[in-house]
Parts: sequence; C-alpha cells; structure tokens
Amino acid sequence: MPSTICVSCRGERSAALVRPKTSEPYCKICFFQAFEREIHETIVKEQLFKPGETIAIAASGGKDSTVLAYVLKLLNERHSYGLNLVLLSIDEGITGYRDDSLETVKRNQQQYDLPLIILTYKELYGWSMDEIVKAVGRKNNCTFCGVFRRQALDRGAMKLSVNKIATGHNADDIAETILMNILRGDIARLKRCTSIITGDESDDNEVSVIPRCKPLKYAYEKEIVLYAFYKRLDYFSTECIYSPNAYRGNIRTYIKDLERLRPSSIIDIIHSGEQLIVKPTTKLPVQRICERCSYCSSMPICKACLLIEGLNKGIPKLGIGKTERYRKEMQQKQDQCCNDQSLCHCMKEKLTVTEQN
Amino acid sequence: MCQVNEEDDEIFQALKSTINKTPTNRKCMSCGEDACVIVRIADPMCRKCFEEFFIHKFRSTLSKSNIFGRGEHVLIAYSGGPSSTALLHLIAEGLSVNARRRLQFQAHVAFIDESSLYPDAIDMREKVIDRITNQLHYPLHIVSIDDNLDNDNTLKELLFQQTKSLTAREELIRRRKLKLLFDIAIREKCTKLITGDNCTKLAAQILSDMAQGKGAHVAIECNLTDTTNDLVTIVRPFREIMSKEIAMYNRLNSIESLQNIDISTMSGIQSSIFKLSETLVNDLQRQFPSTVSTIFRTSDKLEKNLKSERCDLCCYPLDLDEDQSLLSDQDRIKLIHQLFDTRSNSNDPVHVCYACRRLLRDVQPNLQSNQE
Repeated sequence: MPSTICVSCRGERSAALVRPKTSEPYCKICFFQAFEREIHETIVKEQLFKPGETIAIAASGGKDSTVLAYVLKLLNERHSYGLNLVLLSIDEGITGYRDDSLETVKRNQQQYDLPLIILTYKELYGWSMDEIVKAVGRKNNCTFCGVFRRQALDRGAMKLSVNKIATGHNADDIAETILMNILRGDIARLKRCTSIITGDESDDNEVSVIPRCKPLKYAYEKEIVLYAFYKRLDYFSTECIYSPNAYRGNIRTYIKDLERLRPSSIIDIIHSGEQLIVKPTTKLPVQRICERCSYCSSMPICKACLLIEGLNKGIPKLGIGKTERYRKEMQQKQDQCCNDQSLCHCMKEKLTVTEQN
Repeated sequence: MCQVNEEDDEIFQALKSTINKTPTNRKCMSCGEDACVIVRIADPMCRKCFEEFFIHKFRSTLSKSNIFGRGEHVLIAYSGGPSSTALLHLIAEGLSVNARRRLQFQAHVAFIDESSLYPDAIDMREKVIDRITNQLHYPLHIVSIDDNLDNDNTLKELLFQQTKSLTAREELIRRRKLKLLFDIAIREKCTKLITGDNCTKLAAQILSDMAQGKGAHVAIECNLTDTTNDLVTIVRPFREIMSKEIAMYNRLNSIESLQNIDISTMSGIQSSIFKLSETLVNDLQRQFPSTVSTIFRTSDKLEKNLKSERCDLCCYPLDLDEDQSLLSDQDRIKLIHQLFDTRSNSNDPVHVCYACRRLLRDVQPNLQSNQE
C-alpha cells in the first residue's frame, strides 16, 4: 500500500493524488505549486518572454489552452513578467464541436478578464470545415484543418500586432509529433518539432514570421487534466468529431501504452528527439514567399493556397498526394479562383475580424 | 497515408481494391514466369529472380564500401534465429571456392549460451556445435552469458529478482551480449563483427530506443559499419532487408533456424517497450507497407553526435553533460564494473548516458536498500 503522505510537504497535508510524472503521492496544494513552478522554470530557463511583450494565447476552449491561459495569467502576476495577454480563437466551422467550445472561450474571457478575438475559416478562406469534409471525405481532412489553422493564427496575430503566440502543446503532443515525423519520414519537421520556440531565428528570412512558443512543453497531459479538474477550471472536453480515422491515433495509443509501462517515457521521447541531429547534406526545404498571398512557404505556392484551389475547382485531393502534375497545370492556368465575388483569402481587404470586448 | 512519399501507399491501396477474391496467377516482374512471392509493396517475383535479388542485395551491400580486407578475421554473431541462420548460409556461399567474386575474409562464429537463464533451452549448445563445427567447419566460440562472473547465479539473480521490469531485463541482456561479443572478437583478433539485424527489427529497435531516451544512438545503430568500439567494427549487411524476405529465402532453400527463446518469449504484447514497438511497427506495416522502410530511411539521414566520452554501460557516446552523467551510487558502480566494464580500473569515475541512467533506476543492486 503506497504511503499516503505527500512527499513534498511531508505530512503537513495528506496526499490526494499520485502525480503522473513521478508516480509519487502529492497533496493538492503541493501539486499546484509543483505544476506552476515547473512551467515558470521552463519559461525562465528557455527565455520565452521579454517584459512589455504582447502575447496571443491560442485558445480553443479545450483543457490545454484553458490551463495555459490560467497559468500564464497567474505567473504573469506572481512573477511580474510584464506581459500583455490576449486570447486568440479560431472558428473552423465544425458544428457540434467548435461552436460549443467557443462558448467556453467566451466564458474564459469573462473569467480571466482577458481580451478575446475570434477568426473564422469561412471569412478567411471561404470554406468551413464542415463544407471541407463534405468535399474531401473523412480521411485527409485533418491536413486542411491544421494548415488553415496555422495561417489563421498568424494572420490574427499580425492583425493584432502581438509579439508572440503561445500554444498549449503539451509533452504528450510533442512526443506524438516526434514519433509521427519519424514514421512519416519528415526530416525537416523532425528537426524543428522539439524546439520550444519556433520562428524566432532571424536568419535570412524575408518574411517575418511571428514566433510561437510552447510553455507547456514539459507538462504531461494527465497533469494538465488533473490541474484543471482540481482547480475547477471551465473547459470543453469532447474530441473533434472528424478525428477518429487520423493516423495520429495509432501513435497516441502507443504512447498511452508506453506511459502505462513507464511513466517517464514521454519525457524520454522528448529527450531522444532533442538529441537527433540531421545530416547537413540532407536536402531540406528552403523558406520563401508564396506568389499568391505572400505568406511564408517552402514551395512557390503555399499549401493553404493549394488546398483552396483544389477545393474551389472541385479537385479536393490537390494538396494531398501527387502534386507535381497539378502544380504544373496550375502555374500555367490563369488565376481562376480569386475573382471579386469570392471570399478567397488572397483578397486581403476582406479580412474581417469579430471583436469581442 | 500521411507519408511524405505517398506513391507507394497509393499503389497499395489501389491494388487492394482491384484484386478479386479468386487467386490470380501473377507474373514475375523481371522475367514473366509465374511468381511465388511478393516483395516490397507489390512486386511479384518468381523464385529464381527473388533469390538473385536477395543475394545481390546482400553482396552489393558488403562489397559497396570495401569493408573487408583480404584475410581479415571476422566474427559472425549467431543466435540461432532466422536472420543469423540466413546470414551464415549466405556467407558460407560467398566464401565457397566457386563463388563469383569470392569473399576474402576468415570467418569465425560466436554463440552466446543463455541456457542458464531459460531452463527450456538446454539443447541449443549441442545443436549449434553440430551446425557450425560439424557442418560448416568454422571456428566456433561459445561463451556462457554468465562468463567470468563470481558465480552462476549473479546474473540470474540480478535479472529476475533485482530488476523490476521486463524492459530493463531485455536491455541488460542486450548490453551484456554485445559486451561479450566484443570480448570474443578482441580475444580472437577479429576486427569486424557481423550481425544479422534486419530492417524490420531495426525499425522496431529505433522506436523502442526513442521511447527509452536513446535517441542520440539511433543514428549509429542503423549504420552499415558502426565504429563505436575502436577495436571492433560492427557490420550489418541485412539492414535493408525485411524479415519477410529473409523468411521467404529460408523457406525456399529449406534453411532451418533453431528455436530461440529469449527473455520476452511468451510474454504479452504490452509487457515491454520493445514488444510494444514491435507490435506497432508490424501493425502499421500491414496497413501501410512503406512504414518500415520510411523509419529506416529517416534514421539514415541522422548524424551521430561527436562526443568522445562513452557510456560505461552501453559503450555508445554520452548524451549528457559531465556532471549529469556521473554515477554516484556505489552499488550500481560495482554492478557496472562487474558485468559490463571489466577492463577499467574500479576507482575510475563511472559515466552513463541518459537511457542507461533511466535503466538503472529499474534495478535494485542491493536487495535490502529501499532507496532508488
């Protein structure tokens, strides 16, 4: 029978939970302190923020972003980081999932007293996720959502003139991403995915990308759930209805099994990922600018423009799978998707923002 | 799906839907004869072409980098399993007098006898002797896994009573075997050690190593020639050959492998990290046939770190700083000196890499002590 004394305060309070990261018994107070302290140490050690910066917290209403918003606000006050915090939310247009979680974000805005901005796929790209899934089917839709969301966050952040974006990626997410990149053979992403802050290196990038950081990089998903539960934080906990067939599911199961065998596996995978060095002779994509929308891209036309083109022309597989043929066709054809009536995001003036303040 | 190189999987998915239920006579892709086996994604081959393909792959891997010097002494690690049996067979053919571009090294064979750990595997020693000495006539070096230890029960006790998890047991045995193979090679003045690690096993090993914190060594463990040890270079000629191809080759040539029991035989698929990884790789490979080769290709693009200090437990380069890798627990230091690093002075400081440090946490060197 394991001891029921909290290992941190050694008996001042009786243990209420077993900490997933270390498998040791903790009382609630000490767990909160340990959890918050570790995030603070990550922020300080990796020098994520500078005083006076405006940080956009990517808020989805889920547990990770809710806990991130709560903890960042708390640490900002407790340790005087001197940051201005803003909530930035993206509405992909998934009925029964996103509309509910957005209500949660609006409540968070009230509860944490932070300004909130919401952007929708429909106004940015002309397509909502429900419409995309109808056109593409159930298998490759996560690609669309992920590519669009990344650009949406950047566009929202640029509009608001923030200095950095903070996302709620936790240790489990990063471990999954590392393994996924190995299984996909994506050596370029493998190199970047363990960085806690990306887009900060100002080498010869012509396009300034807004840096994004992951303060929760070393926090276990289970601990985030426990923290949110004990603190009675308001979050939305249903899985996206389109995700069950995703490839990532296989790896997620594997990691959950690993965690059951050896709880430190998740941090061990992150350590492994950080040790990987890519051969300098490997061919890596070069960053340039999309010819259509001037966003950063590794190809002449960025992935988002490619995907939209495919959707608008009725060939939804355009950005997925063999692209050589289609890309050649496209470069020869006239620009057919962007006319005055369309809401394609190439039309920059059409960017409307729903401000809630 | 979700692969950077998706063409292979698309071909596979397309084929799956067009093939009807009745058996079809596929023709060999090279010569048009009736096919007997499907290689890689969807390439049918007849027996002759398959064997040529297989043997050619093996020989070209070996001769591509001019690895072996004339008359060099080479140690072949034999475990009795299908890969090492196929390896022996191919090497025997390559060394035979009428072989095309005959191999020019001197072969020795090493076998590590683990029968003290598994009571069911008693006959292995005799079978191996029969096969190697009587049939192939190569010098055979058999070493027991508890070679040079105080008494025969030290290792057994360590593994079954002091080690908490199957993962840790597997890893300890793996490191111990490698150490013993190096010792034999050095003793017999062999400068190369050939192992039968195939692509499928290496892919599972990569994932398993990532899960244990051994990411720094993934780049080294998949190399054709591995120069971690200064005196003995490891060579892996089967690194691009799948286990299915080896099984087919063995079957076509009626090559029988010996039953090989190891520590995780008959334990469930969730019993150790390696087993979990192996299951994942096999399951994914069934749905996406390019999985194993993609994992392998990814690891091939990685570079090893150039630290010169080695871990005293696994002999690979350290991935931690000096102060973090230093081991302070006296019992564990003694353990390492006894089992893994018998040559150095017992007063030298002991350094271990991240994965070995994690491994040691699962081992209680002293039964009485309760601390980690």
